[in-house]
Amino acid sequence: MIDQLALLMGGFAAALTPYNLLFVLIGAVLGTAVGVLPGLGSSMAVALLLPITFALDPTAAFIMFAGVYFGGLFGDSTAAILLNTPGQSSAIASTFEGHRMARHGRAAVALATAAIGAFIGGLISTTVVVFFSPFLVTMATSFGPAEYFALAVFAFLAISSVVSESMTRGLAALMLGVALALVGIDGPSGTERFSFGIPELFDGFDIVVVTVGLLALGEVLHVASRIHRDPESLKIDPGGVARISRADFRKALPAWLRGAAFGTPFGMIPAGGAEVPTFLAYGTEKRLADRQDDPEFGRTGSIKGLAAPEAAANATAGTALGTLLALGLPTSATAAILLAAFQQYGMQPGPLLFQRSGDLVWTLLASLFIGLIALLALNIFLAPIWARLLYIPQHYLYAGITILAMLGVYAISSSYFDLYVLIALGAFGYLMRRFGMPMAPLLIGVILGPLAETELRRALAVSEGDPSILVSSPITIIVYIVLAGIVILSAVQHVRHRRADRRAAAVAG
Amino acid sequence: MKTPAPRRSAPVGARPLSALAVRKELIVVVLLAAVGIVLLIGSTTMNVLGEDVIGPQFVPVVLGVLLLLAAALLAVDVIRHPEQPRDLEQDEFEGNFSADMLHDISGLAEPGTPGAPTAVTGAVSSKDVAAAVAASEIPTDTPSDADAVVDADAEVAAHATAAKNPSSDLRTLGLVLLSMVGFVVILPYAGWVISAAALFWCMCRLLGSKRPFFDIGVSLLASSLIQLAFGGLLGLSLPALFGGSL
Repeated sequence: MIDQLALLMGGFAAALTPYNLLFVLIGAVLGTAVGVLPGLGSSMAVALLLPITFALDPTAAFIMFAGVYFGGLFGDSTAAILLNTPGQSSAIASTFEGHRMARHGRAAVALATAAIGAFIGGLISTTVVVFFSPFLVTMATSFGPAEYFALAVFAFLAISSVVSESMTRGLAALMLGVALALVGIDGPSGTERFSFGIPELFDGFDIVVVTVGLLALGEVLHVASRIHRDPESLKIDPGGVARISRADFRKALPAWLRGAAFGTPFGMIPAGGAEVPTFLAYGTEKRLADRQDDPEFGRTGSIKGLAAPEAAANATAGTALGTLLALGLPTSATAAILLAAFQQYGMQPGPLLFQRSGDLVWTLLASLFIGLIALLALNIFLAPIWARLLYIPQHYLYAGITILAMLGVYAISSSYFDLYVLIALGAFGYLMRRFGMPMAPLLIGVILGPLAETELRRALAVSEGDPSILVSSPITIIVYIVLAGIVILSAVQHVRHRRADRRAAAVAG
Repeated sequence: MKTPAPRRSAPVGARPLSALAVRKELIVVVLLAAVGIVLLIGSTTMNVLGEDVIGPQFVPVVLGVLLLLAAALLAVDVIRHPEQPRDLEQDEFEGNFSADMLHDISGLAEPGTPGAPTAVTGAVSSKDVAAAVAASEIPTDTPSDADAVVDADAEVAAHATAAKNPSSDLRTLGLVLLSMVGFVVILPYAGWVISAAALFWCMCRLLGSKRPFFDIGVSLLASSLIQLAFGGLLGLSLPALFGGSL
């Protein structure tokens, strides 16, 4: 306990230099800005700003990422509240009551509630990470290849079959992701795989090119295919600085804490991110409101119904980052992109990271706290300025994203070939979107695929091909049993809903 | 009108689409099968180095077989459940999460209850949910809520209009892709500032900007600012005009 505090203080000492503070601030501003922009969420913020940091040294880059990571989430809720367009599915639960509050003239209160909620959620979960990560690290050091493979399989199946709408599409997207990652020279054996003799492909697809292509260019192309068809949505002015009265604060406080309690444990489970905890938090507030006959909930907008999911979303993000650092396992698409960032700098998150680059880890954790404070201030006092971003005409917005995406990818290795790959992947991302193929399993597949393959082959090499090694330890058995339980539950649920659909269709027809 | 039309029902008066037009998703099936076949062929013709028990061709073979299986499953699904015109309307997060599950855990709507169309329809956009909740829960008889009802109605109506024009705008899409490729082609010769400004301008034009001359200024400003910030401050080397030979 004391050890962690001392390490964290060391981290603060390293982070609180003017140079590093500048990068926290830049990250917070950029992250919020991208998050606020309609249709862009926090994973897009991280993907789009990732290549830009490559010109920085690792410490400054990761400090900046601390700001971007949480900033995207802070910004997301602004668009959700004022525009009713969440940038990412984790902000959907916030739109229900948040936008309703804004429509009833309480936009400033809603923005303050969201900002404080995001702050509290982030604060609680980051604190949990500080004291919990040594425990996770100790646990992770006892993990062998079989355990890591089990965890990767858990992440694969949980994200693609449980969270996605259709199991077939989720699994198909996952496999396409893993297949993309197969291209290039195979690490363990040195065999050339699926590079078709093209020298540029020997290193495989750069993970940054893949994420920027699928997320940023995919989004641009998706918008291009719709922009002359869809009507514009209604924008609401925040009406000045975000503010909250003492009475409202007291009302929202228990909801913030409940939301954070939902989000914190979920960040450690590879279940695709914050959708489940935010909806759980929203549902809890809804049930409580029903019991107390809350006149606001579902009508003029309840402050509690916004506070809880907002805190849950950021709490999930905090512990997701902790799990990534300690285990090297991304539990959400955004965390997967961050993992790519670490790999780009030649670092592998996991237990060894705490030993080899302990300074960096603790500076990063300290920066998260600093970033949260900066973001709270930025989002409370500058709310009217962020709201102006919603008025940027869409064509400038997407033209800007396009050239930033090109810039970012060119910046990695000054390769024109990468730019063509980027465009091709953008088109692929558009196709996936057009046909309702989920993006999260695809990204997880690309990033965790190589890890899963390496660990599987390592495990089977140790056992000389005997597959029983995969279920030879208590941890692996527990992971597979829990996974089987979740998959069965979700299959039952899918079937139940399909029956309900059919009944409804019969009634309607 | 308090409840938006269920997703699976076609809008009235919509032009009937041909059997293939409502099964465009077969493109994905073809894609999955093609990747699967490439993986299988690639792993049999692979020039394997090393002598591990589980070599580099193991995972591609397993994946290839599974991909073909997924393609078959998806094909059956697509042929049995063709896209309804209303399905073609794209929304932000379609397929990215299970709407059913989120409804269950949040208690948004009881499945199968009349007046809860979103629970019946599977994939729903956030707007659908919000509009439906607003439409079904705001009591119409309370005067103070009249404005909210108007808003919700307008939203639902706007959404319904959007749903009537379902197919993708392939012309805009194609031109956008073309200008992106054009950018990469001229980048080595024209340099960052000019090529990026050209791309920016084309994108604005294609995405519906009405002020082409004003946009020239905006484009040049945007690309020069990036050049200054990243080339000047962060020391990124961006391509110069004529490869910098002038």
